[in-house]
Amino acid sequence: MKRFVTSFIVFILPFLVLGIVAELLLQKIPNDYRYKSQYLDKHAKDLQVLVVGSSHAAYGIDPAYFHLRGFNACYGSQTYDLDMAILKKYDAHLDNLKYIIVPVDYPSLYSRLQDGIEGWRIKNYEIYYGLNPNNNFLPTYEMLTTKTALNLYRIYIYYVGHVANLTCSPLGWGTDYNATDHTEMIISGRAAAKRHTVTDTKYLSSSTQLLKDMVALAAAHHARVIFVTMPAYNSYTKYLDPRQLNEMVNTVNSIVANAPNALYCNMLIDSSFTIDDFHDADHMNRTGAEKMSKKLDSIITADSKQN
Amino acid sequence: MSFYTIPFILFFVGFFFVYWFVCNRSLKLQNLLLLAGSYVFYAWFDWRFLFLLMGSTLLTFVLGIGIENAEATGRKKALLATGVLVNVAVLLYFKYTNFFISSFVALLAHFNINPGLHLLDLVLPLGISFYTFRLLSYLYDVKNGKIKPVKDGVVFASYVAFFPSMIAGPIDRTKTLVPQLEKPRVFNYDMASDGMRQILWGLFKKVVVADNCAKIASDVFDNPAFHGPVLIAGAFFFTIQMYADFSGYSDMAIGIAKLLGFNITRNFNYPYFSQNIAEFWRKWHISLTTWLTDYVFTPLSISFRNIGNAGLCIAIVLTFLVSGLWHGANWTFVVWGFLHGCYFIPLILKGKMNKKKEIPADRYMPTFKEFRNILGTFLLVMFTLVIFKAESLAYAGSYFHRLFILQGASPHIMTSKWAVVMLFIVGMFAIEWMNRAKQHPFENLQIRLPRLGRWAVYNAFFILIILYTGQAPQFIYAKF
Repeated sequence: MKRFVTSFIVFILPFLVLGIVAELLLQKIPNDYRYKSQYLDKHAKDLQVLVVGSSHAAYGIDPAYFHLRGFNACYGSQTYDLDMAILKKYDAHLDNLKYIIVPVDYPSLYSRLQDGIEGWRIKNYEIYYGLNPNNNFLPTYEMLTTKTALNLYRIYIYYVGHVANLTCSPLGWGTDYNATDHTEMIISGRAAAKRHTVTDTKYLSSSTQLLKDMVALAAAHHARVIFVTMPAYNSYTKYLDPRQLNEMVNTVNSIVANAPNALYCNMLIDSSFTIDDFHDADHMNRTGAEKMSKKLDSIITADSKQN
Repeated sequence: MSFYTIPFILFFVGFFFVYWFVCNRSLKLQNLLLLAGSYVFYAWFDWRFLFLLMGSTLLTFVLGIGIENAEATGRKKALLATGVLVNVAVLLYFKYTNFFISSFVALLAHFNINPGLHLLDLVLPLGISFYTFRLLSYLYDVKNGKIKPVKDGVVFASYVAFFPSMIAGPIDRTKTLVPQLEKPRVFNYDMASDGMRQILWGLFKKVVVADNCAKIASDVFDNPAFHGPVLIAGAFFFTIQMYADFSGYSDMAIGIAKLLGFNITRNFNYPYFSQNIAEFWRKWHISLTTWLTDYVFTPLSISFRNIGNAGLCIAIVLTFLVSGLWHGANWTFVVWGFLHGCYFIPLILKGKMNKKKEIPADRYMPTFKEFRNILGTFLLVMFTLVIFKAESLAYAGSYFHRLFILQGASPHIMTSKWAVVMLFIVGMFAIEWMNRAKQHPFENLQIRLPRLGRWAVYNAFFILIILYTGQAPQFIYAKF
């Protein structure tokens, strides 16, 4: 037995040591999750506008165009449970919060990150935010959640190639959606609409409750919530299921009707957005984000005058 | 808690030390720990079904003793029938209720009748098909006097829930596992080292070969726009995935059992080197094939013995229909099983079903004829696996239809990654071919290679495994 255990330890130890070193190196590589969580750790108390949500808002809302101090804490496929987890984490520090911007898009009431193909992103919330959305009893590591070949490549391009993996501006807006060739727009719109149309509504009631919780959290700070449906191109909107769309609009309207500190702006088919404002059928590019952010800023300005 | 996840590794390391260092002096304690560990392992997936497993185990244990004690044949039969009915009813309820409902609704829809039936919100208990078969064979064997009933409840429950083979087999028979549970186990260095080597080979097949093939196969199967050669390639990669995934799992299960001092049933014997379908089934999922042979095919062939070869044909087709249904509640599995049954008919008619024509282990290459037979058998299996993987018969039909459209064959998805995966596949088969006389290619490596060479092999394979691991592990057969 002693011989067996010794052989096993001698065999496994070098791999364990190398794995630990790789993990340490990986966690030091700058990425959007690490950057945004560190920004919030430092500046949450100064923020007046906090944007949460998925890629639609990550690429569509640039807080640099706000008159108030804002930050975009959105990531691709981020769902309401994670929005709420981030809000709760910084709840005690949001001393100057005036607005929370929460996108309500066609698929957002019906999904959870861990269920979709982007579920791998969950580890980022655990490693970089210290959240535990899946209630795992063991901590999460980069080396255990991503293919090692990919991790080694990440280490190589950062430490040897000196290329950072940051794809957001200093205020959290996503900078890497800049397509100007719109030939794929028609196909991608139909495919995205199909992907976003759901048959399973099991998360509808919990999502609705999470939106109400966000309103309550904002109220505790004497802040307001702006629910916004982000613009999309008609190659996407024309394929949306009217039933799901109505359910989404009705859900938000019913929340806003009972919440004096919430308002809803539906810009899904806002005609002021043209094909040149989109990266693909349901995500905006730099031009679109500027237009959208300015519109939101004017809504905030008008609203803060009224209230 | 799949075999190569961190929770399982931590669980097993802890279990291994307590098993060999704390409980090694008492067989009772070792078996108790084995049972507790198996229940923890099972409950990790879904604790609610642990009670179902315990209930089925208790009932079968009591019935086994009851059958032994009953003097009248009628009473023995009644007790056996009770056990079979209850265990099969549980399996039917969880696995097949929705299949029956949807098939019934679809049938009535042809006559414009809506019976107003809805599917039930059922979750399939993990490993239910595997442990139910263990329980059924136990009852049959006790009733037929082939084995004595197990009198020790802990031993019996440990046999049913034995965690290395709980989720996806092998389906060990009582006579294989129970005697080993009843005698003291002493740590054996050679056995444990062999177990580790078998786990390494199983991991290589699962992580490096199967998971890479899975990605390609899914990309091809999920895209209805592909035609021609891409679909042939998709079917090929799925055929390899099935083998590498399931035999990789079995190797890991057998290796883990060896670390605990158990020799469990071999489940694969290099089936893709088979020269006909009968040989393939003697080498593929061996524990299920022998189970079905003993408890379905043999009784059926005895019943139909008066009608000669026709009876054999009927028996084999019915056996494979049961095998298809065992795999899943979908018509695709039924058709898959039916086709495999039909594949046997020419062999039965030519009297070649039981003829063994193994290629000698010392032969470096197969002859042209042998190679042609191997390729033919592989293609027959590949054809049926398209149906096995398809979500419906209609989708399988569309897959075969598109297979013959050569225009617009979308070769752009054939990337350099495919070449790398092909390299792994060729490597796997080459190593298995050269070692086809052994249980697994790393068997007796300590005799065949010096220490340095051995460690170089271990490290090379371990590095490959580490490079390719990291995504959510899932085994195909764990869902059956």
